[in-house]
Amino acid sequence: MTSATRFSVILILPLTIVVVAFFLLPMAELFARSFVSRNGGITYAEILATPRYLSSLGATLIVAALTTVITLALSTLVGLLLARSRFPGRSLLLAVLTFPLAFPGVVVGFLVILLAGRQGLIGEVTRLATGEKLVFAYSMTGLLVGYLYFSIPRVLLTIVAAAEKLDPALEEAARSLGAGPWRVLSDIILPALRPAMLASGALAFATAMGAFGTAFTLATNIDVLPMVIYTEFTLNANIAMAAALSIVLGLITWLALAIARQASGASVAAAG
Amino acid sequence: MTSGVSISVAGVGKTFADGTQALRPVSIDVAAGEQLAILGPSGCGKTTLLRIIAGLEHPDRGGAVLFDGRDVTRLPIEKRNVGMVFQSYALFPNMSVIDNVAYGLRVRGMARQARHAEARRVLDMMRLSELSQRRIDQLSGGQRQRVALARALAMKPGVLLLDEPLTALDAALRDELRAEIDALLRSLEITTIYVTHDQAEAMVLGDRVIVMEKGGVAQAGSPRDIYFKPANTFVAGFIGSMNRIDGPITGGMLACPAGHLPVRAADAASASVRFRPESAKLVPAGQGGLTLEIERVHFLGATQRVYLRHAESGLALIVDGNSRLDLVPGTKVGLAVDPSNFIML
Repeated sequence: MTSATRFSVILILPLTIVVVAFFLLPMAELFARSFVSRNGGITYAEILATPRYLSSLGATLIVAALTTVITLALSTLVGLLLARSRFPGRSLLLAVLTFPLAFPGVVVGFLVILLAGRQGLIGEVTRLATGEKLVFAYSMTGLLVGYLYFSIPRVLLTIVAAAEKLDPALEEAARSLGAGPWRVLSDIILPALRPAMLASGALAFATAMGAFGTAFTLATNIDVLPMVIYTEFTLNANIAMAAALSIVLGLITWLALAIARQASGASVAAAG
Repeated sequence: MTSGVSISVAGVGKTFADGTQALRPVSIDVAAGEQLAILGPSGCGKTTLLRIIAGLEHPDRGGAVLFDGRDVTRLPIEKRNVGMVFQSYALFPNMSVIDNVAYGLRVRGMARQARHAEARRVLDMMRLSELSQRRIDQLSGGQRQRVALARALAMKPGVLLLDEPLTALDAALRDELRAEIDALLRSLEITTIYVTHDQAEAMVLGDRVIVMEKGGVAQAGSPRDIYFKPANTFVAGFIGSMNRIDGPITGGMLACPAGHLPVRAADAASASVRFRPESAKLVPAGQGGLTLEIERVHFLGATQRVYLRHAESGLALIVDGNSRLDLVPGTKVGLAVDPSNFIML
């Protein structure tokens, strides 16, 4: 072994130990424990046979997908606007729009309750207007609002950065060839932003799939997958089922990220 | 028969929102089928003028742009039928070469087969057929440039506007494409406005050249006029190299520290005469009016550029001449200039 390779080995050793001890070993344990259920059956078969698990999986997918679509639509619109215009207070607006990045899920949940909870702003306004209080904080809708709150800043920043890198001459060239604003948007700008939209969209989806803090704050009976895993693990002490559901959640999230990585060519990592 | 439109620019100026005046009001007429080059250093307003003609910028109040006599000042670019080639080419990376070229026809609603046939015809004309299925990132700089031109021409525009189309290419390719573009544009008889900071490009491609400086027109004329009869010191200095000698003129002779030169001018206490490096001739020391020392010689193949200096006064002149003449730096030479070659400003 040359001294150079020995040096490299010494440098990489700590990371190897950390990865094996804190990452690979628990993963292997989780995987190993996920097969045989408490009643001696196969956990994955039981997931497919239990409506509660299936409906929670479906609900989680729907909330994550809705979060992704709404976030992308809003962020692309606002992102393009922000990238193209220079006005006083622009950086302040950008800072305010990305402020929720600083909050953990618990705080986001708290904000949703302040907005749409039993004593919330929306409830007060609707009571005064219609006599009926509109409360949706403790439901899937509340959760969706919370996830939007949390994914819009991330996606927005990515879209703004990508849109600022676009050559303005691309749009001008399309216009010189007769394309009006909508054609330019659909034929030139959106295809150019596709990699950024895919990458940040996958991130939003993955984050929404796995987010726990917001759901936990809003209500303990919101049946999204991370909540079910928590319940199985802590309340029912059903470790095998919690492990199996974790693997399912992990696989879906990983798949979303992998597809996005494939399609965008850029590196995409889950966060949150 | 020409397919181009005539262009009239009347009192067009541009002041940006921050108060900078990029363009002082100018008026220019371009005949149908004419090739006009707009030449100037960066920041002279040439690109702003082009963008106003294109419809990408609005002129200040009072300015008007007319195509074939029709006022298009308020018409956006997508309604003007102008072909435009950008310095960055601005090819659409999400489309193949043929889809780029056919894009304008697609916007017009032409069916896929028809527009591809038409795009193929333009690609053939520009000898790009074998590239038609390529992605843009698979093309070289020169190929991109030609695809950008093909895309603009596929629309059969009445006006072709080119914004520094060759600037991003290396010198040899630039010369080749310059000749190719010139031949193509002349065969198409399309009205062309060509913006460049490169005087050789402007002189080759322009039937007429407009030299711009600091947001205004310094001179408009044929390449020959601009080179041999520059209207002012800016044009004289910007186009080609120019020598300048200052001194008093008495009895048809200009006196300077390096000697005397016959000039065709009235007596003056102080005057400046200018001449091109190729207008002067090196002669043996003592002959000719001036005597200077050879400082260095740049051999350029067909010609050589000789840098002369008068040590006592610091007067420096350049002379282009026969490259077969073997000149040694440090030796003294005489310089003769025919009085008809002087440019008096």
